[in-house]
Amino acid sequence: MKKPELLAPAGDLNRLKWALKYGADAVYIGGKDYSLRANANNFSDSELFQAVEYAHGINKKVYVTVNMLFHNDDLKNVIKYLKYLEKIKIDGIIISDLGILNIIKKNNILLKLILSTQSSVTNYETAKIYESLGFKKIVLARECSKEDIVRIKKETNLEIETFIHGAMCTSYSGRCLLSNYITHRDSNRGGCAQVCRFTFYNQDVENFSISSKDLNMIDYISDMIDINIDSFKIEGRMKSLYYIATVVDAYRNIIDKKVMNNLSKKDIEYYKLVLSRVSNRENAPQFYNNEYGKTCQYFTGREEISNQDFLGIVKSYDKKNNIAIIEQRNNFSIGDEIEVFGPKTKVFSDKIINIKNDKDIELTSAKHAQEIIKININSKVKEGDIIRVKLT
Amino acid sequence: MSQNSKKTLIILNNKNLNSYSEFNSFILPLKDFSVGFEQYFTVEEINEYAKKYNIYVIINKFMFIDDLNKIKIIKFENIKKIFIEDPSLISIFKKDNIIFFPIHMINNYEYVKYLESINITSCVISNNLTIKELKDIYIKTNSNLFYFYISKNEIMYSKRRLISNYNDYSNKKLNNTITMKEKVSNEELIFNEEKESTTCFYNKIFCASEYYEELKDKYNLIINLSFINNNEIDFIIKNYKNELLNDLIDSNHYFLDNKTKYKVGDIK
Repeated sequence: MKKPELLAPAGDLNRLKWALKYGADAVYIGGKDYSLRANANNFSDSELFQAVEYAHGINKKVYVTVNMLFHNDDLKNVIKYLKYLEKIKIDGIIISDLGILNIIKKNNILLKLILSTQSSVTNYETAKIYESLGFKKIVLARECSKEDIVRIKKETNLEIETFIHGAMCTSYSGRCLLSNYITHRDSNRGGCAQVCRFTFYNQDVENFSISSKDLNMIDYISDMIDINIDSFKIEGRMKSLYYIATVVDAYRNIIDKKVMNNLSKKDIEYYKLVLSRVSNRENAPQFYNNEYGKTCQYFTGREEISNQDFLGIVKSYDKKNNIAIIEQRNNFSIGDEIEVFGPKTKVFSDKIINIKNDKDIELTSAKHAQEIIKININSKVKEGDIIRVKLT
Repeated sequence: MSQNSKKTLIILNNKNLNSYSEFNSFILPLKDFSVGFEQYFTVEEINEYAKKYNIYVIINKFMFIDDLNKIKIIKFENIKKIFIEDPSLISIFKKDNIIFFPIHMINNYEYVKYLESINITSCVISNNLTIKELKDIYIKTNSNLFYFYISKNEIMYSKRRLISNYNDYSNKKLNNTITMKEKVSNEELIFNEEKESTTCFYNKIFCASEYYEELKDKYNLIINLSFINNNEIDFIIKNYKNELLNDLIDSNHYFLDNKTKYKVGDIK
């Protein structure tokens, strides 16, 4: 059984390191210009270099998105940037604008070509066309069903990448200018204002909504491995460190268990719970199983419920005294039940029995974000492990 | 730059091709394989009209396996060319016969030059560009370029049946074509649901008439009458060459004069 690549988003160097530590095989990132998350922190040229150095040092991959739709003026300095990406040996470039393909080919820039989901490939004939143009890997349209994916795998030699988790566009990707017309921000150059999540009205309807729930493929990961999808992509270059670590960890475990032939329904149910808690949006599998009706949309707006599950990050552990030094992220108190998990720490539960600050003063609660505190944890934990609310 | 003579092509909202005597070039959306139009045509109708008029066909639906199976057996006769959105159709209809129309995607001259390098020499340029960008693309390429000159612009295309889903959820019976305002901006949009998709249009007519003289020799101009009411259509048809038309109808051509921003720093 072929193990698929688990591909995570990273909005900055710190999140890149966390994504890889928590089990991603590869990350996709954007430079300061030319990607579709113009308002994420993104990576400077030197950070791109550091990212590649770091990832290659632990035998992992870095793909760089250059997937906005270019206007003439945007082309001015892009050759230099593409040559830089070639020089630092990124593992692939994700593009959708054939103008960029033209520049790459004319200048003989040797980069692995990955077609962005912005190109909305929905069928095998289209996949074959892009294969003939030199693309090695295609990020399929989110609208593809299992049948579509199987056929594309059968008819091409392309590596196939599909989204498994995260936000969904209402529109076919790249075919939406709602943001341009409502907010004058160019969605296809990274300025998307998510107008599909706004509400609309007329004389008959007070709240008309076209907003999609998020994607969650956890129920189908086993099936998707069986049909040999090459790369499983998590959406969310602007997501938090906790979100990325949690989602990557969940899918890492599911994939590994499937490949080791010991994936149980209980595992799936547990990680479903984990994933439902990490995001404040509802989710569904959607197009893979051809069920994209009313259950996959929001209709009445939704309340943003702030997620406070993320309690802290382990900085170090004194195993002689069972004391973990942690950096606090959300309020917790003595008596609270917690879970700990990490890149090499299997998830376990514990209970807060004491809290001290860095001056060894006893506290009843940890109330201050990023305060360094000490708590008793009976099992060994490691630097970088995450402490969260126990999921029930 | 291409020196070919340029045409004006019409997309109708009915089947009365003979009611527009000034025109003999029409784009007919193929039934079941196109989205976002008011009027569709069967293969038989298209072939019949092609005996009398210059007929172009548009196939702008994203193709899935069933669509490909069906479209591979279609035979057009005497049509000029086919506007295609989905690249799968390049291999089915051959490069000489197509006008590549990936909506919103072609925004720069390098894109057009790449198409030329693979022998695709007709394409539709996005109409969300500035007049300067449009002129630069023309100057730096050799293709036969097309441009939606007057239209209610399609600004979203979803595989979801967004109105049916809403009706299912709310037990309402909204029509398949509805006009809605966005709550904050009050901008008006048209949502149009069809068999397997929903498209959304900006309700103000995009009209580039202010730049007619600059565009007419560079671009084949497309006038798309879908979702425009009949009173306005008559006026538009009579006055489409009038540079003042955009002031005489309820229209918008913001993007012709304004670069679109996309970074927070630029927006501020």
